[in-house]
Amino acid sequence: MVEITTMVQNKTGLHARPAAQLVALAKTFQSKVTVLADGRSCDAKSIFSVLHACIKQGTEVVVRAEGADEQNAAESIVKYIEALEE
Amino acid sequence: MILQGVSVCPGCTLSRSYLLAEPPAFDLAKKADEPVADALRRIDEAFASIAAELTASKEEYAAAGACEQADLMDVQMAMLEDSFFRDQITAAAEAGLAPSAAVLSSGKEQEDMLLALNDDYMSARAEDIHDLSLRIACQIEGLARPDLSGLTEDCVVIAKQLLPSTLMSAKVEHIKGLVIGNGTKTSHVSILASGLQIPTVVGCGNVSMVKEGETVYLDGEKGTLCCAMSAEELAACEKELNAFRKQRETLLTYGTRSFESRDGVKSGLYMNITDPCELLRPADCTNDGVGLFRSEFLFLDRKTLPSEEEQYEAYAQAAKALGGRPLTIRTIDIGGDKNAPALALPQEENPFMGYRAVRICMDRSDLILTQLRAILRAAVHGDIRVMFPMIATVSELDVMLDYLKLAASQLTKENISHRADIKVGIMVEIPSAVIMLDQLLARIDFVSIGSNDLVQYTFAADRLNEKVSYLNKFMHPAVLRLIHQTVSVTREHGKECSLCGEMAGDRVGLAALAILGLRKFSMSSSKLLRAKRLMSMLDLGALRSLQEPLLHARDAEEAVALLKQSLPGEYFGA
Repeated sequence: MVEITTMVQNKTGLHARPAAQLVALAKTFQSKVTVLADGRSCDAKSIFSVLHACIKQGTEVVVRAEGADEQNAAESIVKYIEALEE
Repeated sequence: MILQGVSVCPGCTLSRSYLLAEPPAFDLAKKADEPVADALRRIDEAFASIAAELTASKEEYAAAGACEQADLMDVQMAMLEDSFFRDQITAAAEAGLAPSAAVLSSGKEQEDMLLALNDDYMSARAEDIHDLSLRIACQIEGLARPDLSGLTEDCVVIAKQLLPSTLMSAKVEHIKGLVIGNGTKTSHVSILASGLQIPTVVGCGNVSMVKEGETVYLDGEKGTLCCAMSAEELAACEKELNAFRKQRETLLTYGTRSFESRDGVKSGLYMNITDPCELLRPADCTNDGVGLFRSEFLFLDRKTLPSEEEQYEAYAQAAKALGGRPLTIRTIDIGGDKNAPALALPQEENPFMGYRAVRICMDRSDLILTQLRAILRAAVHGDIRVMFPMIATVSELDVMLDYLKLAASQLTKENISHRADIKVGIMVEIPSAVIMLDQLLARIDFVSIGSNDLVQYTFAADRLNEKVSYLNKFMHPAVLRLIHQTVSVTREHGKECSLCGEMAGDRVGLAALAILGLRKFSMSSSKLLRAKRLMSMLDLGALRSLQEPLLHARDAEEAVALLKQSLPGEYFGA
């Protein structure tokens, strides 16, 4: 299991397009990917799960990956979250 | 056959009809009348065909450079492919629900959960899942759904009812006219259609007699729709259309001319807008900016209040589109005939006399502070002015000015970029404001007369009540005197005065206002061109002698007759 902590910096947080793309990215990995924020956890491969977590700007999140490609999965997703601009 | 409705946006069009499907009514608890395996297979098939449609639309949007719409397709696609959502549907179908009911009830559950987050962005996503599950259910049942996004040729859209979101997702360039059976002139969709300058008629009742694809003639000014036409009727309509086009051509020559009278008196010409997207279309003619931005459009037809961020985006977008020309934002004017579901205001006996506009803001500091903060932040992007509606007393204005100061000091403290020195004004629409104008003016930079409300409050006559419509006359000398007083007192104080009601765009009203000394006119963008032409026919120097007789006429009819005698005949044909 790999866990990396990061901060959501973009203004609108993980809604709409950022969420949809996060899900698409997570689905490219075999590992189970979970995002933990404010004591809630969500499945990064389900858009409803991500939306329900309602992750806003300034939230500290932990990206957790478990599986064959866990290192790569966790790093790619953290990189994606950190690069969000809108 | 001619259907008579209410004119919302002028313009004539002869085109084929497009009948908009009505949203089908579904039973969310409907039991399956087929084996589970068949139900699941039908759900699978529907998902596959919607997925293909979404992919196709996405590519089309992306190719057209419509990034926002393309992104929206991505979001809906992610929802369609979501395994939780799919498992939920499968479980519901296995429990015996009919396929469409399984999809809709699962969608409703997701929708409710998103709405419960009480977050603006997430409520917009709730709309996405609502649309998507309705679309899947219609696909399963083989039913048409209200959708205008696939229009490929020019048409007149005929609808019993129309949601603003359906109109917003349409290929608007193909909509040459709009007929809404149940609409009213002030509904959000009417205001939107008017802003998009689509010839529109509403409230004409039974539109079901119009046949799909038949040639129809819409006259947006008269508020009529001709359908099931005989050869003679069609010929008559073609003749009318030609006359309309000729007149329009003449008007278009006024596009870049300045707004001035025949004897060279220049005035300001401004637009009334409801939605910033109206500014994306090039206006018919040059103008001086926005004299009235009805900000309440952001609050209507939705279950939650718009956030500061969302309001900021809308105001900034409008300010940028104007490229330095003024944007006058009227703070929310909810109540009266406009209700915002998010505020859950109780029904009132006399809504126009009741809890409305700043009267609500007096109690709801959260509401007005959020809006004022958004306005001050957006003001760094252009010449934004703020205007408070329904001011009846000096104390109300003082409370609003305190809020404005508070909003600015909050932003300064939080180190958020904004402009605090924006121009501030009020709507003059209650006679008490005219009477106390000197004291009000000492505190502000400008006023704008709201003639529609000023008329109804002067005569104590509800402007939506047909039985007292004989009192709804802006040409009555009682109203003309109030306007004249407002114009004169504002001028004495060296402040600005404009008028943004229906009267400014009216043929007779425009002349009367110019004679009374008004030099700033704000009206819906569809009226601008004609106003330029009308103004160019007026010899204001010579007409000045008409001011006293107008103010001392016995009634509206006498005032109108005075104008008709003195104005050139062609003024009434333009």
